[in-house]
Amino acid sequence: MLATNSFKADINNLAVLIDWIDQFEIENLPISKVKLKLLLNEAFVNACENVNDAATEVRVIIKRLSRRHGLSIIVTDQGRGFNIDGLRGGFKPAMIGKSYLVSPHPNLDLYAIPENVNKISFSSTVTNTHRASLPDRSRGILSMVNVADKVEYFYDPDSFNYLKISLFNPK
Amino acid sequence: MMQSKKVSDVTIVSFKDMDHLDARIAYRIKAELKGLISENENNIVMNLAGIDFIDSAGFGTIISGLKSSKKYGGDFKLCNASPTVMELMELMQLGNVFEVHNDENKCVQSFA
Repeated sequence: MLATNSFKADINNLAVLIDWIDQFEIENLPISKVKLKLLLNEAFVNACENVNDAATEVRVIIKRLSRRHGLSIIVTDQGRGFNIDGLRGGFKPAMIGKSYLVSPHPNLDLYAIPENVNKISFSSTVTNTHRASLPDRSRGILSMVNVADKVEYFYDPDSFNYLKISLFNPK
Repeated sequence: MMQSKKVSDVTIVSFKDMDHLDARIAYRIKAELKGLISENENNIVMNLAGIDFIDSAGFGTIISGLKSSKKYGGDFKLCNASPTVMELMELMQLGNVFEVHNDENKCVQSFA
């Protein structure tokens, strides 16, 4: 574990989060500090928008990845999370509760195609039928996808939701 | 906070006592821009001097300003963006969306 912290899910705590990012030193960061700041900023705002009340704790965990020595950032919240039911385009109920890989990588079962600044479409590489548009405020997810190697959102109706961001070192 | 001034038919908006245009303030700025831009005030320069970080909510606000200006037949341009803000703009794939000038005067003159 490299760093961990908890913040109340209040958007005004962005200032506290940013101070925290500015202060800690991590050797061999696989990305620039400004990109890290953007990732954590977007993940935190996303968590704050999803929780039920501002008293909820949002936990940020930064870990070193073992395989390729990059970084893993996990942001947990206690809210109902990403509203998969509300997505347009027909995500099947059976898909709820599974992890969604949000990455423009063609070899993954589900991947995201950044189409424009307002929309991400999730597509199945198998049938190409499960397309869904994200609302305008999900532009933050697109930002994360543009910066990180992999962004995964884990939705669990019975437990905490969490967002996992993976950053690999260059080969 | 956002402040504005008029130079000929161009409205220049700038920021005082803030260095982040992020989710904390973006919606307020968006509302202020919405109230500012109209049929008669449709040419906007946003001077980003002093701003060193913009997140997706902040860029959403700027895009909203651009859309409003275009709707009223005007344009919305940026100036004095820091290298960090330019990097963030590229990361968000917005590099080709905005016209960005280094200098406020040149940005204003570009409307002529």
